[in-house]
Amino acid sequence: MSTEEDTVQEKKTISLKTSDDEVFELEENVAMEFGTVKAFFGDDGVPRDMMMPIPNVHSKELTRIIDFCTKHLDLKPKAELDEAGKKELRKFYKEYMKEDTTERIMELILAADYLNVNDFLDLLNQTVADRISNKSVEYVRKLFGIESDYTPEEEEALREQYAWAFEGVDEDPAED
Amino acid sequence: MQLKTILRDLWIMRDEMRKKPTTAGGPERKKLRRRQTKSYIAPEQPYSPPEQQQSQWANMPPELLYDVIQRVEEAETSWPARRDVVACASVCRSWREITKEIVKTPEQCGLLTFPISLKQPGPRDSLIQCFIQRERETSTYRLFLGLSPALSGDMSKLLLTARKLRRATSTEFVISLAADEFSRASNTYVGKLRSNFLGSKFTIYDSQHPHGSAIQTSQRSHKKMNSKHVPKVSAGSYNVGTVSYELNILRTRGPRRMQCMMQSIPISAVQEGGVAPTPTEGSVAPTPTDFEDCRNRQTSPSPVSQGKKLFDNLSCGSPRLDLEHDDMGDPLILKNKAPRWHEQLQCWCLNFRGRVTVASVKNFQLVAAAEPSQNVSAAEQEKAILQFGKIGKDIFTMDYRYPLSAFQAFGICLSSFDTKPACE
Repeated sequence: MSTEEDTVQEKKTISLKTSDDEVFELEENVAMEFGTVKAFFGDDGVPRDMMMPIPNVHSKELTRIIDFCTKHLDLKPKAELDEAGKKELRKFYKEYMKEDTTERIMELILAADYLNVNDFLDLLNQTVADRISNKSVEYVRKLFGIESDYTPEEEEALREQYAWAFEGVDEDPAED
Repeated sequence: MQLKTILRDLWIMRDEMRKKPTTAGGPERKKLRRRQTKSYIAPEQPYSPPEQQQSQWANMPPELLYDVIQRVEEAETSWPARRDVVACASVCRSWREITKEIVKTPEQCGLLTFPISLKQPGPRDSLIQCFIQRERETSTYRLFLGLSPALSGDMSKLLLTARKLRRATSTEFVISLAADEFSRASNTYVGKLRSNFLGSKFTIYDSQHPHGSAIQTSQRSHKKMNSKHVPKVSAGSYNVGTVSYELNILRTRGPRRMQCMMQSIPISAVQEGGVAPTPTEGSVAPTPTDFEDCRNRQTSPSPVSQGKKLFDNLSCGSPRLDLEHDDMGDPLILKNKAPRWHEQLQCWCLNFRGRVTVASVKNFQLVAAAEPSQNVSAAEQEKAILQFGKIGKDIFTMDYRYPLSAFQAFGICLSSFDTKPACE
């Protein structure tokens, strides 16, 4: 039915190869959401059928990023149309990262940052910010696996600063 | 930035060489290098076992951590949520560095974040609105950030607490960061207010040098003190200002006159292009590390913060300091704005813009008072720098702005609670 030419035109996919040697074929419009990919193929006429290596991204992360971009691409134009669309997009943002552990988020942040997927990176960073809010210092340290690098005296001084910040507030810092 | 880009490209090249060869050869690699313009070095192995991944948070690329913390700071502008910013600053050193970069001074953003914010000048073009709650039974005075107990409720933030202590020849208000700790030896001790016998003159003392530890340190190196002279971690006593009430011996009715001489704020602060001293150390009360720094910086002069002049003739090492500084220039003088007599209402009136609702001799508005030769604009002298007044039984509002800090404003207002009949 179609000629050789038509097939090539209809194809419109981009191939990416991850650090674990998996090759992904994405629709071009999804792949172009990745700033890094967009820059790679750019205007110089780099042939779109050339496979782009992304050695710093594992297939696990790429799968997820592709998933986000596909869904996001679908919802964004609807959000620009009407209020219902906006609501749906907001809901999507709210729910998308709910199940992910903090470690997973870090992996995704690094991958999204490398690939320059700004919308996803914004959501990831906001998720982290939301998880920090209303928590104690100890909780935040535990959550992110960060060891305090303060001396005991400095720790004591910080504790006072921290105590002041909580003074006069009835609620206890959430610990879960 | 450039070096990082080069390094980053080298990482990529190395990874490329380690992996199985791709379909493309040299030209593709070159293109890849050219197109990568990231500014940080990505990890070699993005997928590592979970234990390694844990610590990555502590080494998160700074610009990403900056983004996260900035989101927290922008979201939590009012208390109690703002404590999250303090939490971020306490997690570890890198988090602290970034948080301090993000958080602006009260002068710049009108928000109070750390205890040190209480000793930094307020915003220039708006007032920070607080209220003071008096508890007569315990002679305790609490300063809250908020419009009033009714309007702010749970959102009010307790800033400072003061306790009045009557002595034989004077009254003293001890000011603390903690709600119930008023010992001068405590790390929460911030300063005090002391009256004279007549209750007509009060002096505000800061437990720390009002210009921040940078000046203190340079002074120590100036005098080449050896470690024996470094004081223990006990509070100093720096005279930051005096509040004087005019004696009204004839008991003529009418508003009382008050004047504040701010030893720690030069008149230049309200002149064109002037800046007020802004301490920037982390904690408000002295800590062991402050003095540790002093000991270590014996010989090297430290930079003066915020471009303030050095105070060469400050005497160091003594617990009581009078800030007599020839090169600071004249101190700022504040006077209370004279109310106008309202013929019809038959009372003295001041425009408190709705923030004061109960007539009281304690109510006042302070403005900068300058001699013509001191070059302070008329507009500047019209601005109310501190406003204090009653809104209910034992509740008073306190609004302040640049160049005063919350601590100084509180000290001035506390004097209003102790003036004797001779002044009213």
